[in-house]
Amino acid sequence: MIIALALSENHNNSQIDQHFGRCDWYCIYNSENKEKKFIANPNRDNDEGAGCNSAEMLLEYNINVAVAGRFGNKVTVFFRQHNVQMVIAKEDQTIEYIINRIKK
Amino acid sequence: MPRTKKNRIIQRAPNFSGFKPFGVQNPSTSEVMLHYEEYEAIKLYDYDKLNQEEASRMMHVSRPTFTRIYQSAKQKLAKALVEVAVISFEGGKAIIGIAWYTCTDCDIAFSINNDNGTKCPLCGSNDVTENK
Repeated sequence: MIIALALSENHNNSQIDQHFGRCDWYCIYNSENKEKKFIANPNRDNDEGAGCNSAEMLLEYNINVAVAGRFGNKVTVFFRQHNVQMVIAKEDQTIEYIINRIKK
Repeated sequence: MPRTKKNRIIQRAPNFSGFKPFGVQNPSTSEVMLHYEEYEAIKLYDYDKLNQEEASRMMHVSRPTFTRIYQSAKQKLAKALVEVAVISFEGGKAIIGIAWYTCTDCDIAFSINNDNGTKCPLCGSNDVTENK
């Protein structure tokens, strides 16, 4: 399973960002080989469509699950079409917490 | 008798129930009821910056209807701000367009795709509840 996490900072203790499209970093995590990859969000200052552009970019990594504090409406529709599951995390949950919850 | 209102589709209900003014000596007792579809209208148009056409399609209502919902929302917000009223989210004719589920173990909410059943995507537990 490959999951994409929206993050505020690019390290392992970063909190999950509260808005999917406007976060600073994304982390692509592969639960099979436990590889993490941090990518800066190029769309964060867009006036509109920040979420959708990022979602398209993340789809190229074949993600199955996306994690953020909140998803915009366009992104919700987009992810539903492309069969990506959305997970809404609480504000104080970190990337470590989410990754450790994944069943081995 | 007036015709019944069509359902307005919202993506997600707010996870809190309203706003309270602070720093007032004599808290006023007036209360503004903001409908869920009005909250959604403000969110779509002002926060997500959709235009009214797109926003109306998102909520499955006609463009003029969206405008009416939005105007009523603006009016209620203005009333609440000026009259120092409590804003509470309730009522309206809204249904949630996408189902969200909660896993109590992981303390997360998640959506379900058609193929994978109601299982938590992280821990795989079946102990999930649907959000209403």
